[in-house]
Amino acid sequence: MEHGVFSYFLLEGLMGDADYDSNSLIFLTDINRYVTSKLTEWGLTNRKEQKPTLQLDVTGDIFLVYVPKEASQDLPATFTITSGAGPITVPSEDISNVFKEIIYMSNEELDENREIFTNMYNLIDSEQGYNKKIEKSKQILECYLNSRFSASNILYYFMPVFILITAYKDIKKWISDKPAFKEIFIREFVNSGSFNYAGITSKIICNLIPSFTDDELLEIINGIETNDQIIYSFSARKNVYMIINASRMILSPDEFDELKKLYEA
Amino acid sequence: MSQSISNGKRNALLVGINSYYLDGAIGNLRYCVNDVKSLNEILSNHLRGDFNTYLLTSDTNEKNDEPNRSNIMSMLRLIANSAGPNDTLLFYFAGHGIEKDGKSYILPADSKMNILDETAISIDWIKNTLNESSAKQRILVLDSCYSGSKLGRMAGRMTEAF
Repeated sequence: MEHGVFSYFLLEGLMGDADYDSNSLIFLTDINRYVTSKLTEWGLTNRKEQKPTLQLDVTGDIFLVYVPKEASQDLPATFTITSGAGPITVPSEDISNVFKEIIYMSNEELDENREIFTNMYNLIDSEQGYNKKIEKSKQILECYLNSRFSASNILYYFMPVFILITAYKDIKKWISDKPAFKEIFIREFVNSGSFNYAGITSKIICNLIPSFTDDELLEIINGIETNDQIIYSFSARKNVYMIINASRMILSPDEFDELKKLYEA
Repeated sequence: MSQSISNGKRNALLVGINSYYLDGAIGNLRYCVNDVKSLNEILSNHLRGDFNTYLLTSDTNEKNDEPNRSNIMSMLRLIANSAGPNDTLLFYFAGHGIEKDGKSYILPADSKMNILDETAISIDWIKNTLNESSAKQRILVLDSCYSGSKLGRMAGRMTEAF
C-alpha cells in the first residue's frame, strides 16, 4: 500500500517507532519529534523541503495511542504448546490445528500457554491489508465456534483476540447473521462470574451492538439486571452504559430510566 | 509538559480526498484515501488509539460519507459541539490546500477555484470551530501543501494542538 511521505512517517510512528521511552504510550510530542526528524532526513536525501510545524498551546501533552507490546515483534513461524505429553509444535499458519491442541487443556495448562493467544493476536495484527485481517479473523472465529462445546474456558484467554476481531466493521456485519456466535458472547457476558470477566466480555458485546437483533439486546439487558458481577464491575461500566443507551428504543421509558440511573451515579 | 491520559471520549474526523470532481483545474491526488484508511485502522483499534472515528473519503458510494464541504463542516461542528471538557478531538485532513489573499484553505471534493470563499473551508474557520469546543484536547493535522501558485501535497504540513 502506498502512502504520502508525511503520513508514511506518521503511521510508522504511531505503530510504535515513536515510542522513545518504550513505555508503550505515544503522545503528540513524541509523534511530532518522530515525524519532524524523519521528514528532515528525507528532505536532505531527496532535496525537497518538508516543513511540518507543531504549535502546542496546552498545559499537558495529548495522549494518542498505545503500542501493544507484541506488535513490533515478528510472528513466530510455529507455536510451541506445552502439554503433559511434552511440547508440541504447530505451524502458526495452521490455526485449526492449534485449536485442536488447546481444546482439551485444563486452566493451568492454558495459563502456561498464554503466549499462543498473544501470537494469535499478532497473527491478525501483522497481516498486511484490511481484507486479509478480516479473512484471518473469520477463520479464528470459525475455529473457535467448532470447538466451543469442549472449550468454553478458553474464551477468557481469547478475549484480547476477540476484542480486536469484533471491532472490525466487516466482522460486525458478518456476525449479524450468525446467531451461534452471538449466543456464545451473550452467554459468556450475562453469566460473568467476576468483575474482570464482565469488563472484558462487555467490551465485546459493545463492539457487536450493531450486530444484535432486538431480542438479543433484550436478553443482554435482562442479563445485566440480574448479574451483580456486571452491575458492580468498574471496568464494565462504560461499556454497559453504551449497551443500555443503544437499547433505549426497545425498552419501556421507565425501564430505561431505571437502568440509566443505576449507571449514572 | 505533563503527560496525562484523560478518561473522556476520543473522537476523530478523518478526511481523505483523491479526486476532485467539480473543477478540472484541481488535480487528483494519489495517496490521501489510503493514508486516512490506514490511520483509521490504528486510531479506531481498541487496543491502540481507541478513538471513535468518522471517515469521509472520496472513494465512497454513500452520499453521507462524501468529503464535500457541507459534510466536512457539519461533521466537524457536530464532534466539536458535542465534546465535553475531558474529551479529545482530532481533525485530520489529507487533500489539497491553498493560500489566497493571505488566507489558507483546505479544498473539499466539491471545491471550485473561482469561488473559494463559498466552496473551500478556511483554516480560520476550522480553528475557530475547534476553539469553541469545550474539549481541552484538540488536535488539527493538515496534510496538505500551501504553496499558493501550484497545487500539490508535498511541501508543507501543519500539526497543531491547542
